Amino acid sequence: MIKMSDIIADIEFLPPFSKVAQKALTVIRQEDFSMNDMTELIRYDPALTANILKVVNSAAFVTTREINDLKTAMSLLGATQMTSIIMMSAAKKYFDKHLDGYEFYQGELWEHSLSVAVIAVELRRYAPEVDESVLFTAALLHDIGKIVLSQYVSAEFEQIVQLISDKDIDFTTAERKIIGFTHPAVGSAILKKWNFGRTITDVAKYHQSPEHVDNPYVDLTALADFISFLIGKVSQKDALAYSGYARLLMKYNIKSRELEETITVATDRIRDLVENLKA
Amino acid sequence: MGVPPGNQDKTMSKFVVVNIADMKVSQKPSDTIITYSLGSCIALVLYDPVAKIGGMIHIMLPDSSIEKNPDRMVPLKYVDTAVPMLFKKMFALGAKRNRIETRVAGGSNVMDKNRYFNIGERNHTAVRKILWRNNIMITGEDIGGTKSRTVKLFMDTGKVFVSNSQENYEI
Repeated sequence: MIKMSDIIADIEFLPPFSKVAQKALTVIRQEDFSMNDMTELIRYDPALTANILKVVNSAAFVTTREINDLKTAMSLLGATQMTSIIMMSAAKKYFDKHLDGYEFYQGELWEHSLSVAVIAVELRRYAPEVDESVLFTAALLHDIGKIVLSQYVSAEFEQIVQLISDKDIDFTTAERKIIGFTHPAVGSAILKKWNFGRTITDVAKYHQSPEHVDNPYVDLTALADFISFLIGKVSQKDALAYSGYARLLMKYNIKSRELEETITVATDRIRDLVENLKA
Repeated sequence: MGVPPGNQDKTMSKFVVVNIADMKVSQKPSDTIITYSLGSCIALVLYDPVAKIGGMIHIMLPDSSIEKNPDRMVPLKYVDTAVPMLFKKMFALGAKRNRIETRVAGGSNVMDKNRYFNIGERNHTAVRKILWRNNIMITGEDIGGTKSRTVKLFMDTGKVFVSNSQENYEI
């Protein structure tokens, strides 16, 4: 078993989450926010500015001329899409190493996180009251606990797999039994440390046990996680047993055919997003 | 997206990766055609052992009539449009219908006692139907359950292996 103090030390050691990104999430939710507030916030972050210009000049935004300034980029993208780009830029660095216990190849978990964020936003029509930017952020970071647990899971992987196959339990239960911590618990601790609000920390904490809370952000992320498994946008190593999703599909009255439509639309969106980020 | 670095198995063979809603064919004995993370999706694998021509598709959904946006129609997403494409491609390369070995893998389902959300099963049924209507026998199958599968076709032998994080076996 790993000691609590080890995990806390690992969390302390993580680089802090981008202040600009967190401010953007606050600014966009203020009713009277202006594009100027947003521009002011971003313009002092050259890496972020470069990222935004890269996306706006990519194939998906066909413009006749090259966009070189933040203001024009912002008006083309809109505030919600802007916030998503900011969040992706801020989050990516945590996934930039090979997270061995959870990934077969480097980048698998990042792709999974992007996919879950895209699918969750696609599912927003079943719970229109949720804020799109908060949902995107929460879904993007739902597996963040894995960046800390990766080394421990990797060391005990054989044992975890053996337990799953002997006892027919899911990966998260095996995490708890073998290493004493689960990625949802660690994830929510990380997000708390980074000063994210309750909605976002709860998504990390309950995305594998949505029945424990009544929170549409948790539900949509859990469903998106499930759909990502169906379409293979999953971190394969822990994609073993899934249960409880049928209940969620019924709770939101999602019909089989609608699920198939969501799958086909989300696949296109994920493909577009990845192309944009590559551009 | 989702293309892992090439030779993870550290063998001499070259991995030809079939992405989601994608098709690959090969005539090179040194190739291994591979697809990762089949959930409810289906991999259809064809191999002509005489001509040593092989191919694979990774299909997502049973029926193309669901596509609402014809501009974005990706035929390789759907069983009804993708399966004929793979056969045509194989025939064009010189594969013969009566020699083709046909294997099907994937079609996992959500754990659901009521069997209401059964995309995996619907995919499998759609594949069986279209093959049956065209008098194609299925040589090997590995279908259902709740696991995520990786499927490999070794072009030199025509052997097909299915793996998940626990097992690796031939079908």
